[in-house]
Amino acid sequence: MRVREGPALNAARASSDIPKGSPDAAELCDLVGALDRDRERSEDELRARDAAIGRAALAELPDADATTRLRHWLARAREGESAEEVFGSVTLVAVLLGGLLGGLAAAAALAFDGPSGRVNVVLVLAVLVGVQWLGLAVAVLALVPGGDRLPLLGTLHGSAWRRLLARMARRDAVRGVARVFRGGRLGGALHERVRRLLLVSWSQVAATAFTVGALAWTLALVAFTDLAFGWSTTLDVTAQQAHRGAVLLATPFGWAWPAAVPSLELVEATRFFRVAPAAAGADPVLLGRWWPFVVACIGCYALLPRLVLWFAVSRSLRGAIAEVFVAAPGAQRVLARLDAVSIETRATTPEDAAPGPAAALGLTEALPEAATVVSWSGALEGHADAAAAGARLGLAADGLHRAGGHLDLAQDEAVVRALRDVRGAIVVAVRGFEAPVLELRDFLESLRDAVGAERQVVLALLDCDDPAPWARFLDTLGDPRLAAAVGPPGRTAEPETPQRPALDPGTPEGPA
Amino acid sequence: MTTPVFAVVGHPNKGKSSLVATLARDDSVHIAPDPGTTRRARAYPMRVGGRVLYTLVDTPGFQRARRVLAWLRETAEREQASAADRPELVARFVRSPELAARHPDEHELLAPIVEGASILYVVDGSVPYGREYEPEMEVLRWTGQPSMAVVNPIRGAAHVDAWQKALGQYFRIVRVLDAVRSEFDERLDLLRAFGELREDWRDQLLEAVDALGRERAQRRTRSAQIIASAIAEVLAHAEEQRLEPGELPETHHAELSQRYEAALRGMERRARRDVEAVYDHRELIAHESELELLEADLFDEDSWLVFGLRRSDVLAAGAAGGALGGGALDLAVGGASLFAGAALGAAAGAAAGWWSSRKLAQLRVVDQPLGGRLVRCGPSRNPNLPFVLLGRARHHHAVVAGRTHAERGEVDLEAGRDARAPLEPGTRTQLARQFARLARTPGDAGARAELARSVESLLAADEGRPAP
Repeated sequence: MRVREGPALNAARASSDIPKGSPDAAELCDLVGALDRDRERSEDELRARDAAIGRAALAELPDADATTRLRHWLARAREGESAEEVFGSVTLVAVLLGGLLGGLAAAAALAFDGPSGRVNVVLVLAVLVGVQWLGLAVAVLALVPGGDRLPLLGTLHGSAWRRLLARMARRDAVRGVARVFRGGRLGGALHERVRRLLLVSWSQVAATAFTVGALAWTLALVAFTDLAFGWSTTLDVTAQQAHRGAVLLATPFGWAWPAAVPSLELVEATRFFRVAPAAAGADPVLLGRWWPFVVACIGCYALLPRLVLWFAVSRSLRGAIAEVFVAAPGAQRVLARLDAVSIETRATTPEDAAPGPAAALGLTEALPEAATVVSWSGALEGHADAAAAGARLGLAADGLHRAGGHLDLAQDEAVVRALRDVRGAIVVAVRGFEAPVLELRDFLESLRDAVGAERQVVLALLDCDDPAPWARFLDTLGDPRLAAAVGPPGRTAEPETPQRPALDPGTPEGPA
Repeated sequence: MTTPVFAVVGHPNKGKSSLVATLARDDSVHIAPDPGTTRRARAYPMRVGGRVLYTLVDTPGFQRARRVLAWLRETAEREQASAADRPELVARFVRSPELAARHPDEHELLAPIVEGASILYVVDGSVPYGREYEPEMEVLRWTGQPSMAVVNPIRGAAHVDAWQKALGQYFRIVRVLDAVRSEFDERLDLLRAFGELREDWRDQLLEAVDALGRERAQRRTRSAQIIASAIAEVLAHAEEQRLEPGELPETHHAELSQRYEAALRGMERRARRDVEAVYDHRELIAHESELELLEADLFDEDSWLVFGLRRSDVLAAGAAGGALGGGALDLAVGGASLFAGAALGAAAGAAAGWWSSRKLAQLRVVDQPLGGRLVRCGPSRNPNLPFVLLGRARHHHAVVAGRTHAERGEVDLEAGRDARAPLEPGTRTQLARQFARLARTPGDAGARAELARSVESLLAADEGRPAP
């Protein structure tokens, strides 16, 4: 049993792995099975797999049609056993069973008829050719749309077969067979024609094997026994009429095999009646001369039509499969994934670990009643003096200093030096809606060094919606006498928009 | 031709990572109000068919811009460097291990610029402009690289005008884009603007814009196929339970009904996850009321036999067997019976088949019954069910397709549901016909494809509206 490789191995397969010609029934079942398995996978997984296959297909088969692209995809994406195994078994059973029955039928039809001592040619042809034509008629009827709704054909070609096969193939590896042959609603009308043609095709395989079996047995009897043929009928048929009928039957092959055309003499000599004595007056050699006619009739009227129908059905089957191949449920989604613009925009390296939860240390409920105020980074822009700043903060401001922002670092140092000599708490007003930066940390550390470990320093978070980042910032500083308080609500003044870059008049206008 | 690289830089917590998450469609990017959430530069190459068209680099925010600027100025003054030497001074700053150790954030954000990246300077348009931004803009100017500014109005556009005026003096191109709530077309416009920074990069950026546009259309097609398949599966689904001899079907109704509803909800959830995956949303948690089924007559009874044969099959098989047997008899008598044998045999076989199918169901082989009765729940015949499913799927799609990868938190699918435009009468009739066809033949790929096309045009119309 052939086992398919997994998707990783399949990726290395070349497009030449697509079987030659149009897809067959096993490939259709494999496709349906693969699409069915895909329903259990996430879109992400499918997209990743099919993007790679799609890229390979674009490189190998740039102008391929949808069917070829799907076959290319199937050659890479399918897993497990192929439906070929199931179909191979069915064909084998059909051949063995057909051959055996054909041999048995020929043995029965050519059995030596005791009382008459003859093998009736009419009966042989009725069993080995006539019954075949009945079977052919049934097969052709089954091919007519709606033919399987006839009571008996419905059973022969319809649900019972189908379900039996679906049951046989319920194993996960060949679930495509079950899907195609399932009688359920999802099995649907899509595969109806394929099913019908496939079953007729198998029946032609069996019937061909039947005829070959019958022919082989007949030839074996001809070679190893002395068959005494004759003909007999109750109807009022003269030997001349029977001869004309036989010659008519021999028309297709008579020109190539003259011995297969019975002569009038043979026809006249081999007529027998049951009440007449066995083999009376007949030349035993003459009685055997019917065999070329019998063999040629079986070949021409039983074997040939079977082969023609088998060929025609196989052709129609390929056509029907080609029609439904792209229409299998899920196939369009595969094609869409294969054709998808492959865009990757995500980072190529993993993201760092997420920051932990924000601490809530160091946040006080209120600002001190009196303090020296530092406006950091323009937090009290527009408040001209200590009184205005104090009013904004709701405290008695002993003095107002400005640092940070666009000011020089020297200004920060000057403020720190000035604060060394003041008494009481220090409030550093910051724009609470901004994120704390390391420059502020540098300033606070310099300030702590200057004023000593015991001095109370409080950050006033102005216009702060979310104090958590500030709490985390304080946490990282680890200063027990440093706290933060959300400042009273108010509007932070917007500075004048600079007319030109303020810091470096020598810089050229704007970047290149 | 060099590959365009854009370093996304700015003050901490101004939405740099949001902009990157939106443009790179990567919801793994950490977006937090804490400064220092981004500690190292991270590259997001945009590849189309394996070829990189541009790369975005997310960087940490400026932490000590004044110190860096002071170092640059002091060095320039000491070495009497001209304006032309400034990019080299910035490069020296980046190359110096000692300075990198003292200013790790600035080192990380300036390194890609020194290597040739253009600058995307991001500010928050919802907070007032402040002069503390000037040192960092000045440092960026010293790099000499092409640059543009993006105003990201994180919590409203109150200060956008002031920002535009201020930024216009430092950057040749200033754009406004809400990184979290921007529309797809606005994002494409921004990418086109990236192409304006350097003439030799324009074609690659336009190619990227074109690829994204095509991908958008394909995503809509794939979503429509997913939705149509889910509706087809729901319309076909049934739950079955075999009954013990003498057992009343009603005893299983409640359990079967629960199983049926759970299966339908599962199909809807799965389709949603698939649509979310189509749009690269992998960690979406949606809040929405579950699908409700208000149907009383979902139940049906039937019989089952081994091999899946139904009574009619057994009957036909019996008749065929009888006819064959009778036919053999006819053959033996040379047709003298005028095929009465076949006719009688068929009748006898059919009668035997009828009898045996009744008996077969009661037979036990190795203690396993060969047949019996079953109770079935579904498929639903409610004509409104597919419309309800489609309405929910459309709303979900509009929300997912309109959601940027910078948006965090649960998706509230209840909000804005009623705002969706009702179906036109013509569309409704067309859909009703397609649903009816699918209910008859759910496996019909043609019917699915037809519904998928209808769904796709509805989804396209939905995308013309602002996402709720």
